[in-house]
Amino acid sequence: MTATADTAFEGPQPTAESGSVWTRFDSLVERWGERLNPILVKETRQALKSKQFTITFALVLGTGWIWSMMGIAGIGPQVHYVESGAPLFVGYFEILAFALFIIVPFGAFRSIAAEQEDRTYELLSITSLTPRQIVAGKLTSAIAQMMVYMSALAPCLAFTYMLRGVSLPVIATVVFYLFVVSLGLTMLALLFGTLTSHRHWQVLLSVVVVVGLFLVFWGASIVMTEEFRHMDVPIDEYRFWAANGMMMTAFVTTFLLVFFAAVANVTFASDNRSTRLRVVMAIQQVCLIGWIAWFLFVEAPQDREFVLGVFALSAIYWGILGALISGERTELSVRVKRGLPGSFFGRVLFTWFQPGPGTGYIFVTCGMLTALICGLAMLAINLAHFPNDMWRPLPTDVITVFAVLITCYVIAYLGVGSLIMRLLRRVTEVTLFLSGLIHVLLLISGVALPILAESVRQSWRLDEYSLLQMSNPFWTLAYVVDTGALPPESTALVVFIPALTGIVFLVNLPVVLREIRHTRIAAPARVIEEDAELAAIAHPPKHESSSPWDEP
Amino acid sequence: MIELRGLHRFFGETRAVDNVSFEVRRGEVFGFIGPNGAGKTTSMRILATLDLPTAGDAFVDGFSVVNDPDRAQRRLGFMPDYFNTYPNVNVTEYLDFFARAYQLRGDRRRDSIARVMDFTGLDVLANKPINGLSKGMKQRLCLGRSLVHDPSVLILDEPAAGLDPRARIELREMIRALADDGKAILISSHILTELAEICDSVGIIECGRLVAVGSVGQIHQQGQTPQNVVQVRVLEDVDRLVDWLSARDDIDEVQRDNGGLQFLHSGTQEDEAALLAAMIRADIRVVAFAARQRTLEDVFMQVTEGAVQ
Repeated sequence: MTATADTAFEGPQPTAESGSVWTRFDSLVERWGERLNPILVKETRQALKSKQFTITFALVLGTGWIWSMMGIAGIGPQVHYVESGAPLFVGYFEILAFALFIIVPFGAFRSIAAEQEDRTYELLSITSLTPRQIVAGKLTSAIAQMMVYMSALAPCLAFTYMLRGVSLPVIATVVFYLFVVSLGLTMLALLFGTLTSHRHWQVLLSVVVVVGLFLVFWGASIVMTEEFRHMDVPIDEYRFWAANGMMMTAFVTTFLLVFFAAVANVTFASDNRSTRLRVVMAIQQVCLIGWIAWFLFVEAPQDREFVLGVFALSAIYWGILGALISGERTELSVRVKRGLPGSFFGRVLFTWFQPGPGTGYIFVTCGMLTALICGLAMLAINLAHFPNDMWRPLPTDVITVFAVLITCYVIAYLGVGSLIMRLLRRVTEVTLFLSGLIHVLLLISGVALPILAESVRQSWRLDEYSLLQMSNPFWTLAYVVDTGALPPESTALVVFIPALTGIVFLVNLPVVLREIRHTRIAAPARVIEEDAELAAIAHPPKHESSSPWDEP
Repeated sequence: MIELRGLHRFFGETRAVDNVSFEVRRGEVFGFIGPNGAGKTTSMRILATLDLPTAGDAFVDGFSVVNDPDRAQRRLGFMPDYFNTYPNVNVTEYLDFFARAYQLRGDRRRDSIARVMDFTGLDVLANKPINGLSKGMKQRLCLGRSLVHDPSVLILDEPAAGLDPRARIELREMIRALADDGKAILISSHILTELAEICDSVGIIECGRLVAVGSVGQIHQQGQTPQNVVQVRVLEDVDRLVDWLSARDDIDEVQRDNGGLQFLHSGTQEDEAALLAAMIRADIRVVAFAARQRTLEDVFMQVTEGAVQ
């Protein structure tokens, strides 16, 4: 090692004789730093030298300072008797929100998009960093920036507390949600950054991201300006914690979904990019059912129409995700086949979590059926335990018909979409985007064509629902629920729609069967050999004494 | 160490790589030659796990780049034909980042960076921002990055492009030293004379197909008698010489060259002496007669047709 190279590493090198507290602390930090994500280390180093970060940080600090000066000057001597913290707090919120809702997420988007544009991502992708570490590195780097901006304005926020009019729980809640929203936006921006490496698409996505971030900032600013004075944080009420718990469950599961989607986008093509996403989807479904059950049994047992939420939200959720899953590749790579479940029960339970449009279709169908069964079970339990004292409650049979129909619609539309994708695969390469687009077009056709036909038949007048509109899920479901009682067409709907769904499902089964026929294959000898070598290094065999003269 | 087995890569109708197979052993430098768009970079990108083949497979130390890219990646260093870097990063930070990315920790990482900087001569520029480096130094840094985790396989795509003569010579020496260290090296270049000096074997690719593979000598001898390039200058009547040469079976590819002629002659040195004697007997007034072994350029020109797709 040359002298120059030695000096290139700033920071203390731990030595044997170093004994002072600071030296030990330093070496502890050094050791801890070794474990940090390399991208975080690199981007922090870059940020410390970057003009953009210096200017932004100075702007946030300067604006905060100017706002403080203006606020104090405006309040004047009244500061002793008037609660003047609130308006100042809103100002600081705007400054911080601008940094956290726009600068940090857009910086994260550009960070990963620039890696793809400049092709530095290629060099990164062939290192030992896993795709998860790469996305996590970008994310932690953005979190570090958030922390810096929040620290810069922390004294200002504390100052508003001293001016009265803003309680500590309010400050803590607002700052917490600022962080959470910024984290969510950053994760979404990272997902957008991984979507494409083509420059023209990235330019378009940049515009979408910027507009989206400004809209969020604008919305948050309006809400904060209008609602802050009425904001209450009842930390002693369980509903406050329940509502926050629900929001955080939704946030964490959605965050994980977006995180793993971003990871999947940068994962090597032969790797398994689906299973983790499907696990998160299943967890999210369980959370949704759980929270609605809580509402139905604890929070508002009389509002049993709330169960419609399970069906509606599940339908939207599985409809969107199912449309994307249909675009997955039909072939399983050798690498994925090595990870297929081996046991009988493993195959029965976990095959549906493996990649492929066929397994995905069954996975989505299972998700919808779970929502249907759980929703109806919740309804039955609720009816058995709570009296029906609502004014004009929605009849149970209406809710049941609604539940059955919405489930069938999702399964049928996704089934038809899968068949179209199957045909398309013969002529072109199918992507998730194309799959999503085809499903949207299919839904539009299902809605628009019967309306058009009916309009022509009735000389462009469209007054009443008819069975011709059966393919229109929105009108049909609204029609079933709107009248408050089962409409006359309901029998036909309950017969035809499930029957058609069953046919579509059966037509899709051969594809599914082809996919589930894949069985686990053994790893090549070279892989087994290396695994054994690595295992031997990680867990060296213990020396056992075979005679009293052996060394211990 | 490196094996390409029936590798195919199609982009629509274009067959960028069409059934390419070859092997590179430990300590061997393999030159990958071909005109622009022949499929060199595509093959190298597949080998570097940056692209997937349409069919076939490639192996790095026995690990498939398709099915075990993570294991292959640990063993390979890739130097692409471009060098884009991060802003606000100096030489040490750049290498440090990649060393961390290859999971090197503590002293192992520091030693590795020092070793690489020493080897590439970058130690004097340790704290210099990368954007301020010359082309040659950037190439060295790029090579250093690909060496930071001490890979057993190196894939170098046009490493000498844009370098001045001194930098080329230094790079050549570095590559030879790495091969002597036991690394398998796959290198592509347009500068054929340079490849000839450092490569143990070469593969010539055109329109995605490997048209020749082996050592330069082997390619020269593939399916025919050894041929040498002969240059002859005569006092007058070059046309008569052309006619005379055309009538012989051991002569190929007669070309006019600066007042003289150049052609390929099949045979040994004794046959060349006999050819000269025959010329003189035929009253051809030979001023100069020089025979040399075919260079890589000659082989390349012979086996390729200049076709593009």
